[in-house]
Amino acid sequence: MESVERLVRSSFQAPWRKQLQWVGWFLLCVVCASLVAWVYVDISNKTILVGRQIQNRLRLLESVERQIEDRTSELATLLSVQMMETRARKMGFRLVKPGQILYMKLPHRNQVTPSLAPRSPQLATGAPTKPPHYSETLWQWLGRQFVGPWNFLGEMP
Amino acid sequence: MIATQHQWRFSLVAGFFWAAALLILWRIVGIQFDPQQLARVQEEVARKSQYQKVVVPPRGQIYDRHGDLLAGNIEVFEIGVDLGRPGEPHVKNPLLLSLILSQNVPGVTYEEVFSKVTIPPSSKAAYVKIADYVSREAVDKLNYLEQEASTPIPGESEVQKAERRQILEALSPLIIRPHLTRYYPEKALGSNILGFVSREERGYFGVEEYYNDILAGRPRAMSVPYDPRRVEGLPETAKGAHLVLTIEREVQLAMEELIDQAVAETGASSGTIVVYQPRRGEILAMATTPRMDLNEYWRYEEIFPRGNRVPFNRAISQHYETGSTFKPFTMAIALELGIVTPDTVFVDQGFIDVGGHRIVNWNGGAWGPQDMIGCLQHSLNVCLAWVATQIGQENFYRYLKAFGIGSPSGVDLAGEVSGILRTPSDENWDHSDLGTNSFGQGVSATPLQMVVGLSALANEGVIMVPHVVRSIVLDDYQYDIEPRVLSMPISAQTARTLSEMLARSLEKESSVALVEGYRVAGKTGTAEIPVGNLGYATNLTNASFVGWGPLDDPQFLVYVWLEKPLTAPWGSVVAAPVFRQAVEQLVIYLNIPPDKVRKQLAGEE
Repeated sequence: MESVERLVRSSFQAPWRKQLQWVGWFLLCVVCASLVAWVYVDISNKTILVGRQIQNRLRLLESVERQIEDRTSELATLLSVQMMETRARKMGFRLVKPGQILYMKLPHRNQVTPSLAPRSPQLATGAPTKPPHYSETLWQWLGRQFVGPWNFLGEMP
Repeated sequence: MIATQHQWRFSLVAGFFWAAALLILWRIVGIQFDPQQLARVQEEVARKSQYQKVVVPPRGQIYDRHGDLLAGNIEVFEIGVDLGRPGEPHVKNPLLLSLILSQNVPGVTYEEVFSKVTIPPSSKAAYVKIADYVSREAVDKLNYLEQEASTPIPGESEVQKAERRQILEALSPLIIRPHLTRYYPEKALGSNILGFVSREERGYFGVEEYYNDILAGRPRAMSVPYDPRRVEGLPETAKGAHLVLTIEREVQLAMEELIDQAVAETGASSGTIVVYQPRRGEILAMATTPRMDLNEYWRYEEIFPRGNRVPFNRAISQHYETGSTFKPFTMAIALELGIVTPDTVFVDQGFIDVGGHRIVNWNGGAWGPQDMIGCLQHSLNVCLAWVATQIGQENFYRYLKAFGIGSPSGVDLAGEVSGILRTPSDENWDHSDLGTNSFGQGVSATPLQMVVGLSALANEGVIMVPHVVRSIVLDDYQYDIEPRVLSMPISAQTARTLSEMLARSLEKESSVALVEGYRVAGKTGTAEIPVGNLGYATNLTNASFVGWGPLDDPQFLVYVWLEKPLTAPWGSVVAAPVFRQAVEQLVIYLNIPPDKVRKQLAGEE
């Protein structure tokens, strides 16, 4: 019995075993660090990709806004009074003279007040444009990933 | 043994590492605790990690009252060349690049481009601008050339391949940046009202200058990080507001064509027509000569030479002695004060002395007994001078001021001037001024000031604030500018009475200003032109006509002014027919049925 205990003790106290333990701890640290680094690199990669997409979209947005202005002016040129008059004359229309107009009163027709430029829907321009992914810490992200599903329970806003 | 032999070497290396570590630590601590150094480092980091960008909101658009665009923006391009870094020039083929640009970009010469693209790159010269405000057509040509050069041709020879490569290489440092600039689709239409915008994005004259601040919005500078992880949305910029004018572009065009025709036919040096809605104080059209294509604003000096003092908009920037179109003011004051009635008879002896100055009629004749309608019908200076003496100087000038004479009308257009009205409190006023001012001599006003003052007669004695902007559209909200009362110089009864008197005076003399089917009130005006202090030029006149209608429900007031007409000096001959032609077109554009039809329609209700 004693010899067994001695064998076990000596086995535990053997230098190679200690070294193995150290190696194990070291490898565990490396694995953890690699895991964190992998998560970090993955998130950075996604962030960069999305960031580039946002930059491209912003450029596109500016370009579209310019094009809208440009096309509006182009359309106005095509509908300018001189061009419309030329077109109308080509189509055989002539300016009416006062004596040629026949005024009629239409029964049940209400006077319609002309309205000016219609109002566009109000855009929520004050909304934040930067998603939370760009400002939260890794811990917040992890928390969101794991705590997030609780949202379905209605415990968080 | 070896360890002791080389111990000093290990210590030396270790010492170096320690020293380096300490130095770095020292630097870090130094930077952290020295605010100046910290700021400098932060600035350096910020400079290298981001660039400055100015977000310029598009300038607000300008529409006519029915929403037709009068001023908008178009996309133009800045063309530049990336010179590269010191020692690493990007321009590999300056000859070909200069040739391509000079052939495809208007207004750019080969020498000019070559001198720019051959600048050696340095810390101060990394980019050079070749041209700005380049049209889309020119940029499309360059893009097409690049596209052609980058597409291999099946079975092309080595020479062709080399040529393509050369073109691509030459075009590679080209940088094309789009931006917006002002554009006027109607070109010269309403140019005197709109004004223009310079390349510095500043408005000049008219609406563009008056509303420059709200049209331009507020550009905002922002720092854009190179790092896509730190990207942010575009900042909120104060956008330029859109303006909806009271102008109706068809009416404006018709009036411009009419005044051009009148100027050509009468040989006048200039012409002006103002069409006004007296009930709301809205300017429907304001046509003057000369006008300019606003897209070529750099021709301003050529069209409006400074030496000739040609104003951009005569209707608000040039005052003149209007002559007899001023007489309704005198008559209105007298009627308002109860000094005369339409039936009051004045015996015209052909002259009257006021303040030691003899006043005679336009033909020098004596017209005998005349009632007040006759005085207006025959435009008798002597009669009106007598009326003014009956009114008295205090009342006369008090009322003239109430009509807005001698001060700007306050219209929302840049460049308005006030006329000249000398009052008894002024040193240079003379008693004779009371007599001469009564028929529009010795007192001056702009066409718009006359329009605004006389609008009291067409609007029940009420003068509205004149304006050219009907609505402001800002951040998707439309703010309507409601009509506001400026003053009420006379009663509604006086306004109606005088309108009737003026209508009858036109009808009695069978004026060429009369419009078939519509009853209008109006007054001619013929004024000699003062020549400094030397008196008046007898051979040159200002011919005017003012009228409004329909008499029972005035919808428009039209003022016509022809400066120095050559075919005839009289307003009744040259200006009155222009008024009639203007009204004949106005009633169609404004959809005003003839009086008879209107009354029939009203009777059916």
